[in-house]
Amino acid sequence: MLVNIECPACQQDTIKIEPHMLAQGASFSCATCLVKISVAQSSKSEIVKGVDAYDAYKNRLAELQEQGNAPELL
Amino acid sequence: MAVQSQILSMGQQFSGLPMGALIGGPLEAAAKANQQMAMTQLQFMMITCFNESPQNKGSYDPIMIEMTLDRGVIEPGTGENATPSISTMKTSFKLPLLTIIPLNSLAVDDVKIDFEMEVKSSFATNNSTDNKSSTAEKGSFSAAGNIGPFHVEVHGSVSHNSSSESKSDTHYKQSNSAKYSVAVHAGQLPLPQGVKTIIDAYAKNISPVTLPAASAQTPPHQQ
Repeated sequence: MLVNIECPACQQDTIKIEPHMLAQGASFSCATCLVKISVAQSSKSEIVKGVDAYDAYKNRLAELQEQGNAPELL
Repeated sequence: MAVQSQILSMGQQFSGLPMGALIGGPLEAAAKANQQMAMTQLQFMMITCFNESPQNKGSYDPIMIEMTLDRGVIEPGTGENATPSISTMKTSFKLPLLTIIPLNSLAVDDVKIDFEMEVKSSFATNNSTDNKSSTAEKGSFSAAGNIGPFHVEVHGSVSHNSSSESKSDTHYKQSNSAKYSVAVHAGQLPLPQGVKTIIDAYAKNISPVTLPAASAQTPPHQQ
């Protein structure tokens, strides 16, 4: 899932970021000013933790959806 | 009249149905599911993207991550015939984790309840009474005389046959069929306005702020 953030350099375009790839060290660039952004080494663990939590959250939502599709009769 | 009273009226057939539970049950379950999903989203957001402030209990600070911004800068060469060179300028800035991690807002947005009930009731009485009665009678008699030397002969025979048969049929037939289906659909909802406002406010803070020349001498928190 892509997240758009406003380019901090030119502020005229948005930079599309894929959080999983960002956590793996990928950099994303602005199409207008070609500036590249990536996560600093010091914050890598934070973003990995965040992405893992997001995956767990998605799985939990999928579980809830599954429960809704096959409800148990009480 | 006796036959008609055996068949339940349509009103009677439906009166025992728990219509409240049939309709309200799935709606209540959908509301509960929505509540669970909203709570999951809230927990995810608060645990992942915020830290409770150690100084002020009950107040949460966003988790900030440091990003690196690489920008190419053209540097003019020194000297008369020097060629310009491109160097990379690194800038670091901090932004809240909340602006990077996607937030899904999933909720039950459609509940369809179909209830179909078919009641077939029929009553039939076949009363057939067969009374078969047959009577057969048979009799014979013979007598002889001669009383002088005492010779008397008497013969008699009586026979009777009777049979009776009775038959009665009662036929009652009733069939019920019910179909109850609930379809629930959960879909993506737009983020709540409050969460959007928080993310927008954080995203706007990503942009660098140009300080006036005088105040640029001193850091903003000392002003």
